[in-house]
Amino acid sequence: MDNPVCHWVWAKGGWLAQMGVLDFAGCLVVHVTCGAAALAAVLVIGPRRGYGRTSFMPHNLPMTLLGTGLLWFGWFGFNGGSALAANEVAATAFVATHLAGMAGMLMWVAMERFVMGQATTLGAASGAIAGLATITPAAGFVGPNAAIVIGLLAGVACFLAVRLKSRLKFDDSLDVVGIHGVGGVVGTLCLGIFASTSVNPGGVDGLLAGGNGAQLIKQAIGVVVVGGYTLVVSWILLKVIDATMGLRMTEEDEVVGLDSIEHSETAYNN
Amino acid sequence: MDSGDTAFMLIATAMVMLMTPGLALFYGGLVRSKNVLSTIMQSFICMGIISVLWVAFGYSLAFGPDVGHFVGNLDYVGLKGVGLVPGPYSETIPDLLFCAFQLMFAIITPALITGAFAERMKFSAFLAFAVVWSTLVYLPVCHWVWGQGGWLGAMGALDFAGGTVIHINSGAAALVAALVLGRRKGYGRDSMHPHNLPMTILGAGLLWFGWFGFNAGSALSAGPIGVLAIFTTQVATGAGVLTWVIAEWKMQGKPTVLGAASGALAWLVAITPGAGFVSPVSAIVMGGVAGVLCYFAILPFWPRPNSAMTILSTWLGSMALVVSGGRLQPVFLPQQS
Repeated sequence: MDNPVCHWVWAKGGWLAQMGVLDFAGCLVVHVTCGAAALAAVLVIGPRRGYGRTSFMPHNLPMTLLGTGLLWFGWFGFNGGSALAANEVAATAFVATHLAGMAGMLMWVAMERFVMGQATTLGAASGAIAGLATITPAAGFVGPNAAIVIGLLAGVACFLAVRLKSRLKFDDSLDVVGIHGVGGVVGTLCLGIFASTSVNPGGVDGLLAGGNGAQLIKQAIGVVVVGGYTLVVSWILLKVIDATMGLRMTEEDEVVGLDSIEHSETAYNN
Repeated sequence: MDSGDTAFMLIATAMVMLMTPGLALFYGGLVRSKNVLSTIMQSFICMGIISVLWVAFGYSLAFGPDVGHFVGNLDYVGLKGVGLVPGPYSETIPDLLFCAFQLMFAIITPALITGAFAERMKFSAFLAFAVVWSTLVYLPVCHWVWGQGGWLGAMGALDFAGGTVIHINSGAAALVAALVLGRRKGYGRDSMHPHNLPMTILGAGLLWFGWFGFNAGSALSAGPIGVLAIFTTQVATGAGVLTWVIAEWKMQGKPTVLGAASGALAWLVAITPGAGFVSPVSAIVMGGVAGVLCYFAILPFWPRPNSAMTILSTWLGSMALVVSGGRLQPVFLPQQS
């Protein structure tokens, strides 16, 4: 499914691209699709055994922080490289990426402190990824100040989405919907608000730069179409897999753990 | 001199440097928890030893003016005359940058060997081995293949990014080292499961990333050959992962994480000599072959799988492919424009 969506948005002749929907480095193509597919998967596969009753604590947060660092590092390639040149647009995207990751992290941690009393390392990691995912579509089209605002918005929106998930008892194990899905939607819409041709002459003016509401509407259509298409196709695909080869581990196997059942391995030994 | 090529080679050099700590984590995860630090140290210390050795006389013996097609002379001792203008090995980057890039290769080669004698070699003995081995084996072989006037290079043997110089070399040394040292105490009797597979995967990821610098950087320029090398490296490694995992799944019942990492490593090694010479489809085919060959190379050690031997066999199996890959290159060469 990613292949057709990628064609719609980025390929010559893709219909969303022709309509004028912009996606600098793959927010619609990567984050909205993965977020929507994750939502479908959560709905089809159901919660883990014991979800909501027993605590599922991360087993190794330093590993998560290391992974976050590698993602942040690689994201410069993802967004900066999407300029396809070593030029001003790449520099714009690079700076926007870093500032949004920073702002997302700070805002998430502040929300945690404000709402729950303590700022956590997991929150810092989640906020950074939220900011990075959210700036992705806009990275080459907005200036540094707008990037910070977008990062702050990501911190708020994704934090609330993850809270909402807990309220609704959706078992999105690692918050793909809340971070990539919501971040992708916010970022794609923010492009329609904050984009400015003074930053990237090859881009567009959004709502704030030129009072151009049309771009925001185009971006919203992109979100609805891509999100809807991905949700439906993913749901059907997962149902087909469920009906043919089975989707879910048996209850006993899930209790034992997938490592030893699926791979005959355990991560840590003496 | 070309600023684009220079910028690219600076980055590629840093990426190859990252492979050695990556290798330390890869090996470190595979051993028992009582031997993690000693295993990591054997790789990491190579960054110290070889860097100094390289400046003192290593670069000169490997890349200095030829003596009898066998070794470089001592003209570049202390990097005398190795400057910031293009040298004999590249027209577009500073000589010193070529020297730094090659240094990273010289560092990782002895570090690769440590996988074979992990968990049982004295540190002092390893230090002595690393210095003498690099001097007597790595530097001359490097000269034979890549040095101007080296006899293998003059004969027409191709080695894009170090299949012969680095991997056959380290694989053969590893075989000898394992034979001389003998088995680990309790080998075959006690469980020797990897103590931390996530660490191994982290190491494999860093190695895979660094390998792009290794293979694409071997083009010594930011051009079409580098692009071909990065693409063949990626798709061949993907094919190696798949093949190894499928072979395991069929023959032993379960696809393992260690298998995925081993498959990746096996083909990263095997694509190295051909990376800039073959087409992407050929790379996938060769990747599949590497996965199967290396998988079968470790089978004699089942049903008592053993990390150190797995490492060794990965390199040994790859060696076989590197040799055959060397033969296959002329077949694939016409596809490269």
